[in-house]
Amino acid sequence: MATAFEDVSEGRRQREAVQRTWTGVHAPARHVDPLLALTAVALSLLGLVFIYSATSPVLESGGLDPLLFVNRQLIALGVGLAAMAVAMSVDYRVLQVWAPVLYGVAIVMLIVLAIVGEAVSGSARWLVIGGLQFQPSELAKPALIVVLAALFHERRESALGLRALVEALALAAVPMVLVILQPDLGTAMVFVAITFAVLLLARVRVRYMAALAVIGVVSILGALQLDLIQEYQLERLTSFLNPEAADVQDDLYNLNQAQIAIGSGQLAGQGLFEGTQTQLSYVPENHTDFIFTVPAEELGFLGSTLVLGLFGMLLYRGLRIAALSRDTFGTLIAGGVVAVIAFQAFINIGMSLGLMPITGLPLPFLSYGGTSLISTFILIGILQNVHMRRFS
Amino acid sequence: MQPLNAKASVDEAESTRLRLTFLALIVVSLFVLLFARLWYLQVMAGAEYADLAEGNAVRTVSLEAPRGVITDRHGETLVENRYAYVVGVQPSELGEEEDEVIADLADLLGTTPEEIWEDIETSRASPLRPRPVAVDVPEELVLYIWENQSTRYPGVYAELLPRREYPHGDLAAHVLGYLTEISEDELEEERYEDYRAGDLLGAAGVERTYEDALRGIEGLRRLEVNPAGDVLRQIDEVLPTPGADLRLTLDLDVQRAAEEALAEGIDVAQATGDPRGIAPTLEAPGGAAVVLDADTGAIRALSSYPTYEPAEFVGGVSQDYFSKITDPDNDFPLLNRAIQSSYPPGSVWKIVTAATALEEDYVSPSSTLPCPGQWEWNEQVFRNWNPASGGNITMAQSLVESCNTVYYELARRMWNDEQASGAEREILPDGAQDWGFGEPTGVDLPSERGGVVPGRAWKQEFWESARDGYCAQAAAAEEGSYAEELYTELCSERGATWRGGDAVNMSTGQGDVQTTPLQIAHAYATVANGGSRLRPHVVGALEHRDGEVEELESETLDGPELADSTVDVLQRGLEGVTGPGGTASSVFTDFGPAIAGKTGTAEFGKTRQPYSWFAAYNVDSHDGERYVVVAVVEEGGGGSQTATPIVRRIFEELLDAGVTDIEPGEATE
Repeated sequence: MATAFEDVSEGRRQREAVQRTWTGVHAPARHVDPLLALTAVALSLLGLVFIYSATSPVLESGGLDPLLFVNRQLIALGVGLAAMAVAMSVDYRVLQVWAPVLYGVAIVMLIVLAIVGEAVSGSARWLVIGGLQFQPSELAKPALIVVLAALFHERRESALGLRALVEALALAAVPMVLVILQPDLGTAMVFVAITFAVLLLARVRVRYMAALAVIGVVSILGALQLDLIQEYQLERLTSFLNPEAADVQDDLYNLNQAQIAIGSGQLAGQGLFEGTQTQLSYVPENHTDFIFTVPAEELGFLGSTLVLGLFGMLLYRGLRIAALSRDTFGTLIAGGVVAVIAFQAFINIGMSLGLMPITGLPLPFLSYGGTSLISTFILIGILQNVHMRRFS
Repeated sequence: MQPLNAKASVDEAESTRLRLTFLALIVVSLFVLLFARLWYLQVMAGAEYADLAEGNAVRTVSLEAPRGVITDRHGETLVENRYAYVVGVQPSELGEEEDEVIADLADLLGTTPEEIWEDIETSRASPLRPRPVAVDVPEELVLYIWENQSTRYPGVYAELLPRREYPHGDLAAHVLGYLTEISEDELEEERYEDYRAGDLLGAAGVERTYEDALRGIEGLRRLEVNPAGDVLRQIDEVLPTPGADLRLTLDLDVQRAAEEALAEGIDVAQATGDPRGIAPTLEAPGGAAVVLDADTGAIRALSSYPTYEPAEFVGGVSQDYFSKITDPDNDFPLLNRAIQSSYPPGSVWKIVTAATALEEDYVSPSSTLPCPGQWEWNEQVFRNWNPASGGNITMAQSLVESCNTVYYELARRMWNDEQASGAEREILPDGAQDWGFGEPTGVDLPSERGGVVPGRAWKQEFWESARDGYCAQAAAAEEGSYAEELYTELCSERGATWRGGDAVNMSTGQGDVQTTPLQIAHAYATVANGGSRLRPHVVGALEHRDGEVEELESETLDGPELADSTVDVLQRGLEGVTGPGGTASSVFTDFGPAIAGKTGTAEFGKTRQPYSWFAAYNVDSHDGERYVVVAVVEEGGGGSQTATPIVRRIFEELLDAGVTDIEPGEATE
């Protein structure tokens, strides 16, 4: 018996060893994407340096701690990393169940904001809870990604159907209308990008997509015609096309100074902390909306290329994760995250470069602002989550 | 909940992969767009943006170089700089409450708003500069304005500015000149490329000719500023190089003597009866006097009457004053008559005709020519000024008596030879050009005129420009009148002919000859020094601030190349003019030192009184100096009447001969 037992236990031991190895090999924690993590952290650290460069001279001349903004951003980075850890720890598939709840919370917050929100430079984006202020629209981005991904995952057998499409558009329209009311046109455009990416990857028929595009263009023109978009939004969006309008002089000044900062960086830059446009605050908002002017002026074309390269690497990893995902849900989530980061990076950098209208969208990882940084890291956490669990 | 581990079918996977690739392509194309724009901004257009960035952050403040000081030959200051607090108003920045601001400012400065407004409105300062409304403002008021500029005094500036000062008032104003703000047209000229709007520029006199030396080189201070315009630090500094000082050849005492003599002589003339009866008294509206060192060409005095106050130009001349000194009714005080006016020289010209006749062998030093009271040529009668004259006289004596008919005869002989040779050369015009007439002397003062040496070519050119006028006059003249006959003649081709009568007129400095007073002084210096033509000049040395002194050498010009015997005849003749029987004898009878000279009474149209000339030099040098003194008074009557007493007075000062009152001389020719 002993031998038999030993035989049995030997077999079990072997089987258990194989199982341990297998689960060990495929344990989610062992499948974190290191390149994705590295590029995200590298971008955030560069952001701290650029924020320091942009804010320390002003703080110092005001008799304040030159590290004030950097320290605040550092705290947000800590919170962001913790939030990312949480986002990685729970299997992303659970989100499929929780998607309606997440989505509901985001919508409620946007509605609350619409009622009690504090106005910041003409539009209410902040909600203050217990002394902490944050932007509900930042939460709405992952919520929309998840709820759309869940919808199409559930309907994946009939994914090409018109019904799923209409449902998806209805789900996207609610937060979109709420942010337009703030009014925050930039975030609304991010929602469009998310929806586009999810629809694309969910294999919605090309002819539906084309029809949607036509409807979208027509309705934008209609909105303009019916004055649904407030005048200042329009002016802001078109100031780079129409430099003569007196009301857009401020925006134009910002844009002009941003171009001077970027151009004067030339190939190798003026040197870190040496750029006069940055150090003497010629570029307004250069720690938030115009943060890209800091590496462009002080580190030149080479430094700008480094920043763009890091974004490129990050997006490449995101697309790779979308491709590797073991299920449609993961693919759609990853695609939505890539769309958010790519779109915001393009709009923000394009704005500094004079290619895109001024929308007030932050540059992910780099712009000063806690909510943006934290929510970006949550998105990265979700990406990692999909990558980590591609085998299980 | 559906099973999550259900793998998609192969087809679906393919389709998803395709769509992911499409998404990736979109992302890549967006990034390519960003790269292209970055490449353009930073690499292709980077240098331009770098300039813009520097323009943003770097303010360049110019440090004005102190302008050079101007002294007379002995170092006596004529123009200097003084720094003064000046309060100015920039009207465009006053804002809506401009009346309150000005009332407040008037209160502060102890004046009335009306006066401030008048200063603002009548200033000729450029629109870019504050209009000066108060000078020498006490420092505490300046500080007060600085402190309250943004709140109570928008558009009001208090600045420490260098100002030109003239310790001797209007003395030598025409030589010194004045400064004005550079004009827009001048700013476009290449030679003023270093200038900016609002910069001062020498506008007349040596201030203009020696602008480059006087101005110095502006210094620069580069400051780093923030967008609010606050200065953060000084980047670097280049100190200004002060302008060089000018040491003139003028002698302050001689200049003063010349100006006083000229002014007093003109006063006397204006109270003297007109011997021709054109007006009750002589008009004598203006004149000039020049004192020249005969051996170097150095100008010791140069005066023009009426004159102006250069100090009026400091800080921008008022419109009123500027109108006053450019008004014809005030006889153009701004005009430097010594070099910028040319007049018929009358008989002072005779040295040129005499020298040419001697050099060209129309007469010898010892031979004689008849001096009748009147002289005929082609039924035209030419009279001597003195109808009682007669007998044969030498060339030297013809200068003493200023006998016109001698010169008419010489002119006829020369003209006949010219006609006989087909006018290959023109004897008297060529001779006159050898003396430098018809061209500016090249004195170092701006806008010098060259006068006129007439001749055949000149006549042709003049006729072409005047023909239309002649023909119009002929058409308008009464039928059968003398005027009709004259203008019809002038209107025809014959009007361009250089006639014998033209040559006759020219021989005595009449007709079309015109010279500046300085040209006459220059010619008499040539006689006085024995034949050398020295360029007149008014600056003796540039004294650079580093201690280097740049002496300006006198320059000998190609001269008339006179034989010694010719010079001797001219000198003897001129010496006789102040002696018994000479045209200036009455003025110089009781004068000690020997003076050689020549009177001139130049007709300038029938309706004007003649222009009075006297050109002279002291025969024996005084303290090593031989001075040429020339005076001319417009419509001053006979040369001996008005100009000669002025010259005598100047010599009294120059030669320490005891100053006497100016009295009108006896009218001679």
